[in-house]
Amino acid sequence: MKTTNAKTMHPLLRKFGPLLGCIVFYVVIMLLRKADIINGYYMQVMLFAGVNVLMTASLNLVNGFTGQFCIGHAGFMSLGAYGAAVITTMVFKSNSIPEAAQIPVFLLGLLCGGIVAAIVGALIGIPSLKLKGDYLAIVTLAFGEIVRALLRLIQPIGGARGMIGIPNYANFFWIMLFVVLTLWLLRNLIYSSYGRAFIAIRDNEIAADAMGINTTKYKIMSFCIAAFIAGVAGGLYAHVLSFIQPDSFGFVKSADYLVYLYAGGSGSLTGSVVGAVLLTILPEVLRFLATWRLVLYAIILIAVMLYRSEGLIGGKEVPFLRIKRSSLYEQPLFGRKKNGLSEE
Amino acid sequence: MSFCPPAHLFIFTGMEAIALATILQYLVYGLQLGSVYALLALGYTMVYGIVGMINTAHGDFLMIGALGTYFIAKLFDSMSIDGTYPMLAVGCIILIATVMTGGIAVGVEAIAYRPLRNKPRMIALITAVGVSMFLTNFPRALPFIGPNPRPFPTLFTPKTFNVLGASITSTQIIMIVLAAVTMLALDRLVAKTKIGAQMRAVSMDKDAASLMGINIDKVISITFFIGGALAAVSGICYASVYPQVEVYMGSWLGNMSFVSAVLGGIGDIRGAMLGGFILGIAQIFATAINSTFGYAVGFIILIVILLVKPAGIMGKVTIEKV
Amino acid sequence: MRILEVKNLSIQFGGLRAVDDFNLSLGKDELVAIIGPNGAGKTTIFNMLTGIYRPTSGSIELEGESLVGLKPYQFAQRGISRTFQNIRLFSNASVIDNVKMAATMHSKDNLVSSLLRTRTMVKHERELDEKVMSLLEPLNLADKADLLAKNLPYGDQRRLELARALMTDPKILLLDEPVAGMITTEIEEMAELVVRIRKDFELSIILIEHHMNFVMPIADRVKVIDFGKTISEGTPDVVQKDPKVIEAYLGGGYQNANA
Repeated sequence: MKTTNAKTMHPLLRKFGPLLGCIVFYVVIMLLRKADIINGYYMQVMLFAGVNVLMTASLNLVNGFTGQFCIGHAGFMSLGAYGAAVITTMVFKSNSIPEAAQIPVFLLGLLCGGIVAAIVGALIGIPSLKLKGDYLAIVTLAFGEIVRALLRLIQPIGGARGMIGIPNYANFFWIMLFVVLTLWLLRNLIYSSYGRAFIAIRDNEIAADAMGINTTKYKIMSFCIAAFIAGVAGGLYAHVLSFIQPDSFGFVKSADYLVYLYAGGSGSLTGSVVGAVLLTILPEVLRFLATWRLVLYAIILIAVMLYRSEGLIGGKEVPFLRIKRSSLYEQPLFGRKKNGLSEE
Repeated sequence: MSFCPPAHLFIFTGMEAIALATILQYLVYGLQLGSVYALLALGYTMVYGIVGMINTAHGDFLMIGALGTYFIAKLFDSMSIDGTYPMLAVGCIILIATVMTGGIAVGVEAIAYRPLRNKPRMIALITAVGVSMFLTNFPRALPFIGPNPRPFPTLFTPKTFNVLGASITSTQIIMIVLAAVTMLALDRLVAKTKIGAQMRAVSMDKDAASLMGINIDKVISITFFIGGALAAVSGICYASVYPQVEVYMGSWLGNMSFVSAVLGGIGDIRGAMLGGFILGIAQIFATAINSTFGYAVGFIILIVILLVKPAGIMGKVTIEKV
Repeated sequence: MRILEVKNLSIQFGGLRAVDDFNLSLGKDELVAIIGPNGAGKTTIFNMLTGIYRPTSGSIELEGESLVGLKPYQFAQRGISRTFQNIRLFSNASVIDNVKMAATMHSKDNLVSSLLRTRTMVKHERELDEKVMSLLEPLNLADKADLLAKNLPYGDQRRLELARALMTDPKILLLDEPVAGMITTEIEEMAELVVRIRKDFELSIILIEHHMNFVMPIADRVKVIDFGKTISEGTPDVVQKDPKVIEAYLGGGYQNANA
């Protein structure tokens, strides 16, 4: 019954290794930052990389795991960005609230942004029921552009000029926290009955229907969850950059996330992480090429698609991001614990 | 020159005559924008119908056509008088630009799209994103092109006519006529010629067509050539009226022509023409009301058609066999 | 009462009447076979009985409840499960996951407990895993549990589809050409399997097949469909000798034919 694998990790290492690794990583980065080996510019690149991981992983849920065609993902990001920014700059003016309240307000903003995005995500899920493939893609594209057009019209939030003066709440700690948390939650989701339903819809929707899976419910759910995460990512983005404008969330941005997703390999969380991080850093690394930078980036992208179309990671997962069947039959490490982390 | 309307049209009051003139004026602009969209949408729709991919880089072929015309015209500078060119030179310039763009389209297909023909759709889409990025940034990086807008050469001496209070230039007339003639020619080509029949066969079933002895690669290359050439003509039409050309001009027009193709029924040639004109006219009128409305009307039309009849105005619905 | 009552079921695609006035009264534990030439409308009948197509007229009642107009997943949730003529497995998923997917509708875990992977949720996952393995065992798939479905040999794929359909805990099982493309020994094994699961799971079964040596020994009743119409029905012996049936399969002019 159990699959034998000579390289099975010791359960303690597998369960707590990643968490420990994250803490060590965080400490190291913070020390390097203090020593200014990592300057403000590099730090900002890392923060954007984190935001991009969230966006790519959430897009992966819809496109990679549920097999839908969302190509307007940046629209959800913009809703979350504006939602959060409105809370932190307009509802609670950041300089007039006590410092202790800043973090809760920030988190409230992120939550609101996520919820707004999720509601719209559910609405977008509805046309997905009637439209398949290319048509669904077109609707999501149109959605992204319409959100952009609408945001340009709303003057109180800055209209086409955008919103400035958003407080700089999102530092490395928060970005890392959300990235690790989201990856953990997504991993759990994928290795549950929900994840299996998503994959069933992707692999053979008619069969999924015939086996009693309410494909409507699960398709809308996947859009919703992905939109929520994208909304939170947008909120974080707003609080890194301190400035947002509608035009930065157009199809070009959505295309970026599609590229990160498919270059890394859809259907794998590891692929999303690698794709997002690598391709966030790559344009910066290529900066010395000036105007030739994007030309080379384009060539690299085309080459990856031609020669490794399954993506750099090709659908595989690192041990921490997958759950093996055999782990279901392991004895719990400790006696009685309340919830969450001790079970994996 | 002035066209004098017959007397019985003066039964309108002054106001109505002015309103009529304004509407006619918008209609003229709409038809002209519509022909740009229609020509560009034709390439989109043909590629989708025959290869099954949405070539998001298509708008950049328009840019290559327009920008190419600018540089090719420079070669003929010795022939120009006061910035205009003799008819023969104009013909040569347009021909060279069109063939060049068609050739580049064929090249793009051979290098970037052909190897991916049997891979999932999204992969081809991502590659198209890369192609578009390359096509806009490569000229931008080249020192003699760069990001700055260039003034488009005046290919046609503009004369203005006055019809019922609306003014229409000879350039606009030539544009609309040129677009209409091109579309008619394409329609004839697909419906009546052998190559047209082959294209229709490939669009219905690629594998069956190849089993019938049709050279798929050749048909697809020809499709891309025609698409690229039409895009170049479209670019020349557009730039003749809005004479600033620069490397990014293709993306917005490409998106709008894509909407036109979907509106008319993606994969259907007549649908693309119809969709292009409808969108062009709608956009001009919408912009007249409110500029953001004009910006959004394309996407609003898109959402409406996708909710009401996703297959498009001329499209047919297909049922999946279980 | 009869478990399934199908009356005057018809469907029209444009001008084509693909199925005309199909009737079936299915009892508990009964095995009915639907046979007929290719293109006769048999799979279309199945598609109507599972909600994929909506009939133009007629009624379908499962234990008294009308099913017409419901979505396919609702048909499955009420107890009608099926296999497909062209195998429709979840190709990129493992064998065991394929079957687990059919258990989604019985899942006791909500979204939050799945996101947090609570103790209870893990317990349910383990129980599901054990249940699926016990289902795969008699079908000779247990040792292939972690292989990808698309890498299985053909016979295994068909049995996997069967396992998956059984996982939904159906009252009625629809098998669409379960032995298509199989050799004689495999056909005999499948026949034994069908009879066994009918008994073990207390199922009523409707099956579509062309292989007479598979159908005749195990069917209680046979219905013959040609061009959408029912041209004969009865026990296997009666139907085999019906001249209309012979003509439908072999064309007119065939005087002597035995199975």
